[in-house]
Amino acid sequence: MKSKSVLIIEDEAYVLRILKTILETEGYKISTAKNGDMAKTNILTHQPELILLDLGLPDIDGIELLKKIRVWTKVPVLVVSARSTERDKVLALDNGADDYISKPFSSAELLARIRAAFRRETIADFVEDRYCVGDFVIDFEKRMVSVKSMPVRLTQIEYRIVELIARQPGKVLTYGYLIKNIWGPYADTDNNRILRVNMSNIRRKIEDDTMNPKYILTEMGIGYRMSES
Amino acid sequence: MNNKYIHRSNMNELSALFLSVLMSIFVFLFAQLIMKSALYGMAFLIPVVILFVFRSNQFLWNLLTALSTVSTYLFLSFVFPGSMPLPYGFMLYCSVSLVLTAVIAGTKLLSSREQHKTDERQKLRDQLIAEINTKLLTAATAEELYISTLQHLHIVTQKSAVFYTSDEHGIQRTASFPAGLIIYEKEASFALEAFVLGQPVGVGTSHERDTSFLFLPVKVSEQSVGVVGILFSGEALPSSSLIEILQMILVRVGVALEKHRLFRAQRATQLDKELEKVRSDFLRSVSHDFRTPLTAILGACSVLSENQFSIEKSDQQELISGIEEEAAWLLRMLENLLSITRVGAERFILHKNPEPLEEILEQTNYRVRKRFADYHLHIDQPQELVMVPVDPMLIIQVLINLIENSVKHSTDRKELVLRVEKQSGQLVFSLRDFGSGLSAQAQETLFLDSHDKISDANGGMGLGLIICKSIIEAHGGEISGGNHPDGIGAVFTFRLPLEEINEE
Repeated sequence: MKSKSVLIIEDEAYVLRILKTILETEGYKISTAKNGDMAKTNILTHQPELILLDLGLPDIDGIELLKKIRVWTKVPVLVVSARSTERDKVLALDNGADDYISKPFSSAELLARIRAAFRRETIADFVEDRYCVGDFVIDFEKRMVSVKSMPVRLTQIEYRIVELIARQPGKVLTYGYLIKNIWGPYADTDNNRILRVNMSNIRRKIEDDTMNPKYILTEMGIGYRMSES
Repeated sequence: MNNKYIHRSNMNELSALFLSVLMSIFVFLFAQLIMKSALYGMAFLIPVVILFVFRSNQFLWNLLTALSTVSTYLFLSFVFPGSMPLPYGFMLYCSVSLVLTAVIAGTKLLSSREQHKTDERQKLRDQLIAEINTKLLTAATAEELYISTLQHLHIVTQKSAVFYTSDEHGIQRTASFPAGLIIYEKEASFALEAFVLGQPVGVGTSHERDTSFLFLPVKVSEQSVGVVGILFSGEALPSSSLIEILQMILVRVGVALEKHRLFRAQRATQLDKELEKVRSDFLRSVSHDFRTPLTAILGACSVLSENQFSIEKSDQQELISGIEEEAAWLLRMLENLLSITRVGAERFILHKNPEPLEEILEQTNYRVRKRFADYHLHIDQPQELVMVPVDPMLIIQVLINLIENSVKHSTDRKELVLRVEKQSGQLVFSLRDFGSGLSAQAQETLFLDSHDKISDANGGMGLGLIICKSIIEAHGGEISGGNHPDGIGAVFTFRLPLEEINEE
């Protein structure tokens, strides 16, 4: 199998060395960039299949660079940052990042996230008519959800939420993203109460044990994610 | 009031005199015609004179009245045809004693009545002052003091009032009664005058100005600390005895204000000292908590590098695992610290959002499963959907810290029970473990800064619980902990308000 190419945008030499070692050991082809300009050149000329972006770059605000990258390419971008608050994560995710890892992280975690990002990409290439995980099945054509072969009665809004999440399994969808896609681009994203209440109801309907959800997973303070296995 | 007296006495005394003389004529006629002897009439004069002398306590007037009455009577007895001339001695004696008795009796009686009235007034005044004193002493804030003062002045004067205090910008209006009183800017300059002069300015004073206000300075040992303005609109003018009463009241107000200021200054210094102590204690305990794992890490690294070729693979692995563990612990400690500084900062704005309780509990459960895999966490929550206004990551951190604490004191029974229930507008969380419980000493110092605590082998139980307290209190809740009444293990409880409270 052809090894995937990954661009690492990181300015600290020490961290760069470690990341390079981890990824190369795993079999990825690595190219590096120390600042925004080098990143741009690399993306446009080498077209990496995945980008690892450190938000703490010296010459440009990480989020600004992220926005620009999204203009140049559609490949998965994993954002790495020393800041770990939910607001920073939400900001990155809402601006086009596919995933967010806070420093410090273990190599295992990093590799798992990269694998997940690649997997999501391949799934997205196909237009699915249904999605299954465990005992959960959602049929996009019939607009029906069932768990353990028993149909689940969902309200219109509840179905749309589940559908949105199920169409991008494994990807964290922020509250803001969900609200805008269900209630329109002018919906108030500061108040996510209705979404949260809907999600609680959905969970009660589809999960065996709401204290151990298997299908729709919580990213506390950020959003929700459909599980993949 | 003096004016009024003179005014009144002019009329009253004159009419009393006139009436008294009239009465004496009648008495004479009665005595002469009915009783055939003017002598008997003299006896009747006594009550007459006394009655009319009663009108005032002005000695001179009384004397005049009595004299006129008696002389009229004597004159008539001389002049009236057919009346028996009375013996001179007797007449003189009667007249003098009559006059004297009447005058003295009248004056004394009246003055005692006046005295009584004055006493009554004095009593009322004292009562008012006592009331005001109590109010002033129990006022918790300066604002309460101002309002209290104005309210009492209103009771005494039935007028609206305003309070001015001074600061570096000059004189400022700090309170008014009633609250919405509209006052022109120019009044402030008169208030300032009263403040600077240390004397009343305005209506009814010797410093009359173009204002309907009476401005009285509030003084503390001859230094002005504020000014009270009382609105005398219309015809009403303050009398000087009223101004006297008001000034007496304001003396007490000044004392209370001064006490208040001193108390606040004292409090501020005390707080500063306490803060300094907390800060230095905190730093001391943190630096200790950091050195321990760092020493272990550096030690392991040096062993590994010095014995690179001679060390057993298994030993090597052990050292490396140790480094990983200590580093991971340091990281968690750091996150805890960041929470503390976030929560403790003066400008800390808690990002509260109504969060579903279920999600908070489910996330806690997830983290417990990952970190404390051999533990079983029972969760008991309300049936219905509960939304609670919190910063969810912080509350999860509190729960994890409490659970971590329980795990540190665990025995064989690796069970934890987390119960959440709604209780009168609050959400009550209680975490129960079946471990070794809290020692008596630990119970005392549970949430205090770790300087007072014993740092145990696992690196101190201090920080985690302090953070829990900071977070819960920042949410407007309370936290407590103790041993379970069963005698097995400990219970930690915290409450969070279910209603959003606007924090300024």
